[in-house]
Amino acid sequence: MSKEARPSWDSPTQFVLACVSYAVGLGNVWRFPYLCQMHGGGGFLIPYLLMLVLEGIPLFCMELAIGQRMRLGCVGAWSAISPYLGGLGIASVVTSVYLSLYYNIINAWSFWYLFHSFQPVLPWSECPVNSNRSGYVEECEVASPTQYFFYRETLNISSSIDENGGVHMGVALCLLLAWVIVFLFVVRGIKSTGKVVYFTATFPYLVLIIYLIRGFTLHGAWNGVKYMFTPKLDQLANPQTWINAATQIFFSLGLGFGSLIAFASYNHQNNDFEKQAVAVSLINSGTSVFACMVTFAIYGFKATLNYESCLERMKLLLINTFDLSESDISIDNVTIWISDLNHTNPEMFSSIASKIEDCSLEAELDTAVEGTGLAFIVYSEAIKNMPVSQLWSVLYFIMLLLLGMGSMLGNITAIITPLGDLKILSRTFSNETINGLVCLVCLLLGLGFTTRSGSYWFTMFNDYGATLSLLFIVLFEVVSVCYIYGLKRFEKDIEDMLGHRPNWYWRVMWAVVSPVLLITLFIFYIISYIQGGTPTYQAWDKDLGRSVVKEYPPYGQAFIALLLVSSLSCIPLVALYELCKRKHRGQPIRQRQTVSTVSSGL
Amino acid sequence: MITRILLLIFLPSVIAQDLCEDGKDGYKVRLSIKTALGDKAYEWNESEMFLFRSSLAFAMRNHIPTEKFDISNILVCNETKRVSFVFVVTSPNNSTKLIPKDQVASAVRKHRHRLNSAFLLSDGTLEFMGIPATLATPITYGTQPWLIVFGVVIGAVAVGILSLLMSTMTRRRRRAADKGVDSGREEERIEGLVKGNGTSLTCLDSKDGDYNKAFSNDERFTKLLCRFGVFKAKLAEGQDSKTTSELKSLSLKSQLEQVNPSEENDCDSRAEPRANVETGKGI
Repeated sequence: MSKEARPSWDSPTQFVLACVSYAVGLGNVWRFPYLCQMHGGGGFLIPYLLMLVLEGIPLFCMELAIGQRMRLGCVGAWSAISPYLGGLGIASVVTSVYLSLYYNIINAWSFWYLFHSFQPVLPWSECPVNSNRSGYVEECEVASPTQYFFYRETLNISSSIDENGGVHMGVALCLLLAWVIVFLFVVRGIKSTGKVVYFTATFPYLVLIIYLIRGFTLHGAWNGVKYMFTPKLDQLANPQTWINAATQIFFSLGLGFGSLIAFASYNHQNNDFEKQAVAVSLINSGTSVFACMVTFAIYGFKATLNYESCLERMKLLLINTFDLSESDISIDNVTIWISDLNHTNPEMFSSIASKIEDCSLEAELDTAVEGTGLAFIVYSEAIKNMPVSQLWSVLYFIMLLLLGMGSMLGNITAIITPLGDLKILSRTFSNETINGLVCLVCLLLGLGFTTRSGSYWFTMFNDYGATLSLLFIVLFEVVSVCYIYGLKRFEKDIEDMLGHRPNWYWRVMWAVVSPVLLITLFIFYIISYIQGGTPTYQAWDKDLGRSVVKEYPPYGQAFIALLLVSSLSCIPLVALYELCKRKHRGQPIRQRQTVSTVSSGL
Repeated sequence: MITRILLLIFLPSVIAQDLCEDGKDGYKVRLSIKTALGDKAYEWNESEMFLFRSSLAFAMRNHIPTEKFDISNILVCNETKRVSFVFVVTSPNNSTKLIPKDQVASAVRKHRHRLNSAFLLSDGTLEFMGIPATLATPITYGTQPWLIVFGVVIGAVAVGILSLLMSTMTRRRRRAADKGVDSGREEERIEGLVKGNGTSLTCLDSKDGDYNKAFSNDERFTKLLCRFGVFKAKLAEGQDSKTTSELKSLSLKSQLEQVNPSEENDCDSRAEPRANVETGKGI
C-alpha cells in the first residue's frame, strides 16, 4: 500500500496564523488583565516583557525547531532524538487530552450565551419572576441577574462537588456542536485547519478593535484605563509578581502540549521559524496588552455604573427616611448629607445605619476577577448596560468562540498528529476516521462536565490538569535538547534548516537561562502546593448568593494526584521500558549511529 | 351657642383627620416625580392631589360597584416635601367607617396601571407602601429562540462535514481508478532509479519514517536530500525531459548531480510532491 507524502501548509502565512490562533486564546483575555490589576497595573509589563525575552521566545523557537527538523508529531520527534525520551511526547499528548476534554466546555458555554443573545431582552439583564408573580426569584434577588443566569440557568450548579446531578441538556447540545465544529476544522488534518486559521486568527482582532472604540466611548471607561496605566511600582518588589509573569508567559504561549511541534512538523525544511517564533510571541504579548486595555475600559464603565447607582441608592434612602424633597440632594453631595444628617438626627440615622454603604470608585475598580467569572459574568453585566446590547453580546461571544476554537485546533492537532504517525493506526483507519474517533471520545468524556457538579470538575482540571506537568515537560525538553541531544548538534541542525547558526542569544537562553527559570518556577509550584494545605475550590451558595470556599473531598484530592502523576510518570516509565527492552534483546544501551537507523517509526 | 356651631362645623374635618392619622387602614404613598421625569417633572400641588383622590375614588368604584365612592371619601394626611402622604378610604354610606385595608389593596392592584398612567409614573416611582405590584408575565415562547439558532448552526456544520467527507471519498475512488491504470508504468521507472543506493534514501518524507535523520552526522546528506526532493518533484511534474529514459541508465548519485545547480537554493520554495501523486513503494 503506497503512502502519501506528509501534507504541508499551503504557505508560511498559514503556519504563522495557525500558531497565532493557537497561542492567542482565552488566557490573553481573562488572565492577563487580572494579573495586571493584581500586580500594579502598567508596572506589570516590565516583568512580563522581561520574561518574554528570557523564557517565552527561546522556548517557542526551540519547539518549532524540533518539529520542523523531525517532521513528526511530538511522540515521534522525541523518540527520534533518543528512544528513552519517547515518554516526553506521550506526556505531552496526555496533557493535551486533558486540556481538550475541559477546554471545549468553555466553547459550549460561549455558544449557549451566543444563542441566548438573539432575544429582544437579554436573559441575564433581569431576574425571572417567581411563580406567583409577586416578586423575583429569591436566588436572583440575593445575587445579581448575571450571576443567576450563569450559575443557575447555564450551569445549574449544585452546592458542592459531592452533589451530582443530571446532564444539562442545553449545554450538552452546545458541547456537541462545539465538537462537531472542531471535527469539521480538523477532519482533513492541516489542509482543513490551514484554511480555517485565516478566520480564527484575524477576526478576534477585528472584534477587539471594535470593542476598544466602543469601550473608550463608554461613560466612565477612562477611570478604568487610568487605573490600569498608573503603575504601582512597589509591586515589582513582590516575588509573586515575577513568578506570575513567568507563569503567564509560559502558559499563554502554549508550550509543552506538543501542538507547536505538530504544527511545525508540516513545514518545509527551510522555513524560517526563527523569525516566525519571534513574531508570534510578540503578537501574543501584544494581544494580551491590547485585550487588557479593552478589559479595563469595560471595568471602568462597570465600576462607574456601580458607583453611581450606589450613590443613587443612598440618596433614595436618605430622602425616603427623612422625607426630604428630591431636588435637595444630588448625587454629588450625598456623602456631605450623610454626615450632616448623622449629626443633626442621630436617632433616625441609626435606624438606617445598617443600610448605608460606603460608595467608592476605587473599591469597585479594585475588585479583580479572572477566568470564567470575568468572561461570563463581569463582561455580560457590562454588555447589558450598553445600548443595542444584543449586537455587542453577539460580537463578544463570537470573539470568545474564535479564540477558544483556535486554541482547540492546536490541542487536537497535538493529539491527532502522533496518532496519524503511528503506522498501526494509519494502516487500518483513514485519517478522517482517527480524527473523528478522537473527537467522539473527547465529546463523550466531556459530557461529564455538563452535569450539575461539572463546573467544579472543570475548575479542578483547569487548576491541576496542565500546570505542573507542563512545567516539568518543558524543563525536560530544554534539558534534553541542550544536554542529551547536544547543543552543538542542535545548532548544526538549525544551520541545515536556516542556513546560519543561531546567535549567542539563543544559545545562552537555551543552555542556561530558560532551564534555570523553569527550575525556579517548578520549585516554587511544589512549595506552594505543599504549603497550601488541602486544595480548595469555590462553591456557589445559592442562599448567600455568592461563592464560598470548600475543601476537596478525599476522592477529589486523589483525582488531582492522579491527574498530575498520569502525565508526569510517562517520562520515567517509557525510559524504563526502553531500557528493559534493550537489555532483553541484548542490544547495547547507548548507540551512536552515523548513518540512517531504522527506528520503529513511533 | 357659637362654640357649639363652630364645633359642629369643624367636627367632620377633625374626625377626618383622626381617621386618617390613626393609620390602621391607610396606606402611605410616595411619589418620585423628578426621578421619573427629569426635566419634564411637574410640580406637586393641590390640583395633582385632587387628581390622585379622584383616581383612587375611581378605582374604589370599579372594585366595589355597589357603592358610589366620591372624592370626599378619600382622606389624605401627613403630606411631606418628599411628596409622600397617607390616605384612607371611608365608606360612602358612613363617613366614620373605613374600608378595610385588603379591599383598598386589591382595588389599587387591579388599577395600578391606570393610576401610574394618570401621573406618567411607574410602579417604582409611584409607590404604595405595603401593596406589592404584580409583575408582568414573563414572555413564554413556543420554541425557545436559542434552539432555533442552534438548529440553524448545527445544520450548516453538518452539511459542511458531509460535503467534505463526500469529496474525500470521491477523490479516493477516482485515485483508485487511476492507480490501476498507471501503476504498472510508474513502478518500473522508479525501481530503476533507486536501485543504486538501496534503502538509505528511501522514505524521505513519507510517514513511514524509516530514515532517522537524527542520527545522521553527515552534512552532505542534508543537501543531497534537498536535491533529491527537488528531483522527485520535477519527476512528478514531468518537466525535465531527461528524467525518465536517459537517467535510468545512470547511477543515482550522478543522476542527482545532473540536477540544475540553481535548484539547490530553490529547495525551500519548491512545492513538496502533492499528496495525490503516486510514488510507488520505495519512496
